[in-house]
Amino acid sequence: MSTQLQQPLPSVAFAVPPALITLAVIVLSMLAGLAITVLLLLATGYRPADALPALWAGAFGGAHETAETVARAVPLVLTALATSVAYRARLWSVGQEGQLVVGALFTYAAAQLLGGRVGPFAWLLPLGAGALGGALWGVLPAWWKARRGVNEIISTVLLNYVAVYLLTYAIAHLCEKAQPTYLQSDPVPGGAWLPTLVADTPLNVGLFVALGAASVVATVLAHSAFGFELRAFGSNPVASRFKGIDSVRTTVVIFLVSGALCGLCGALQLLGTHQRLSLAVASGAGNAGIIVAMLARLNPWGVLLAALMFGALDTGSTMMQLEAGVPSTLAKAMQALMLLCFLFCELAVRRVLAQRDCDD
Amino acid sequence: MTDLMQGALVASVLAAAIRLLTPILIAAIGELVSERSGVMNLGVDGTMLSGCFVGFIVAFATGSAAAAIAAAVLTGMLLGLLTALAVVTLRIEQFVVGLAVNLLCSALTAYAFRTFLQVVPSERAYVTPLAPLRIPVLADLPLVGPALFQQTALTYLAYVLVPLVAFWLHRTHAGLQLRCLGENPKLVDMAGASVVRRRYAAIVFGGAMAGLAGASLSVGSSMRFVEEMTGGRGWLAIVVVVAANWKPARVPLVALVFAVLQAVQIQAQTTGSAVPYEVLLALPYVAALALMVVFRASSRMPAALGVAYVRD
Repeated sequence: MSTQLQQPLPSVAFAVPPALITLAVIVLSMLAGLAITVLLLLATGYRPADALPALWAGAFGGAHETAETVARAVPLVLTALATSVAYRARLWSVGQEGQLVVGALFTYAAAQLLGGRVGPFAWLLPLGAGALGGALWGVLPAWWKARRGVNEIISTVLLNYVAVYLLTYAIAHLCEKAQPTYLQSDPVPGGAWLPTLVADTPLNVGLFVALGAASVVATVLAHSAFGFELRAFGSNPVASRFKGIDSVRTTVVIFLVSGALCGLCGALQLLGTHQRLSLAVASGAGNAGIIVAMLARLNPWGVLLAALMFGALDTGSTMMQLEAGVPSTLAKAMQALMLLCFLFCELAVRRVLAQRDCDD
Repeated sequence: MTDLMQGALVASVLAAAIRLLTPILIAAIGELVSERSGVMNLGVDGTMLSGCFVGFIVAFATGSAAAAIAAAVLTGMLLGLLTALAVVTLRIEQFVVGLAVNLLCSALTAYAFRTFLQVVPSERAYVTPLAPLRIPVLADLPLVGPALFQQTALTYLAYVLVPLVAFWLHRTHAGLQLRCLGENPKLVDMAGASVVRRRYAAIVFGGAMAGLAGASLSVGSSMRFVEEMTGGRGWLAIVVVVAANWKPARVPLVALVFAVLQAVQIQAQTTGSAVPYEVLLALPYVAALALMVVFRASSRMPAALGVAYVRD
């Protein structure tokens, strides 16, 4: 069975550093994805020479655009970290989106309860509540998998749908709304909004939360007993049981951590970007985070880079739609194409290297 | 409420349920064949969505329902071929491939549809849906007659598909080989039969059925295409296979549970109900989760499901 997300690429006799090979694979798949995008643009009657420069200008054209790009990368970092934690243990959760939504719901409840009055705790406590909400939503599939053998991919996908209907229900029946016809709540109290970092930009303290989470996850994965348990569990659950690793406990803990990161993402989205509950909260950061994590080969530092690139695609695509008329959903297509190209490229490189090892 | 009105209500819910059953049933039968061969194709939902879109576009361009359905099936087969190349030949993780296919299809259909709407104004972006075919005599049966026998051709196709696949799987030599493939591919290989070719065929068949299921959503019952039109029906089809314990004969029963839940929700939208609308919308997914938790997934699962075959 292929375990390509786990193993480092095979080392080569004449010692090309594995990191360099990985980088080459990633660059190659980006270029392949870009090439297919160009073909797609031509096939649908747009001029790549108009569209691609607009995409770039929209993402990095000025200070404001760059700030927007960084701000859009923040939620992706968190969902991608959540994905990395789960996938390293070969627990294939697709429930990031649902956990994010439930996190946002908990955050909203906590922010309303505190009423924006207790200084920095007015947003710190709701952030914690969001993490809790995501973690709780994440425990359900873990428990079902560990106890009843329920496939976590299917259960997490179904839970995503349930979470979105939960959000719709909460907005329609539970939230305070000045305009009953719109499917959006009133804003949370001003004291709960995340403090901005640079005036007139969407950058807020969420950036530090994301960077902090990345360093904590990186340290824990590389240097702690839990990080080791995680990898052991992923590579061979049976053997890890003989080593005394409790599979039920490990599964639950991994989903707790992964869910908490997604819940935190939902909390940041609510308090930092939207300030109110609406269907915009479930805007696809969960699925994009999965692709980001895979392109980063489940490496927390790589996640930062890949998330920045995806943030740039999201921001740039808005400008591309305005300037060149290309639908902004092209960004999502590019992201999916890059994942597919990455899967094929990585495999091709692995096969070539393995062949050369045999020849030596 | 009088008996007559209740009867009419039941008949109308039942008719809607059979209409909604069609895509789930077709997709589930395709997925069942793929899974019995040992390949878990998680790209069903995306493939269905592509079938929906391509069917809609071809129906719009040519006005021919037959061409639309053929194009949707072809799209499903191509996506099946891509999946087969990735999971059988290249042995990439099946789950990752399925996920990539879903994301790609969801993004590409949204992109292509918006491109289409830039050319065609949205008030003209509709097609003529398939007309129901009335089967004489049978359609006159009380209560169930119109529900079962006044449907589109695709529904009748779904009716015959189940016994055909069941017969093929359990009563033919090729079906036996396919089932063996899911349990122990080495045996098939040692008998001199090609594992690769059979798995390719099974996945492509599953893709074709998912494409057909998609066409039954867009051309079969609706006049329009909407982004994310499948609403997770592909995933429900996968749950149907698990809850039916990989047995074709049980597939229609489980699929009917989901279809009835969806039909009740649509009925409640028009007649109103005490239960909030959002709860009814979530019901099929909650029911799917309950089915997954109650039925132990391990019981009759093909032993080699999800495992790439490597000749050693």
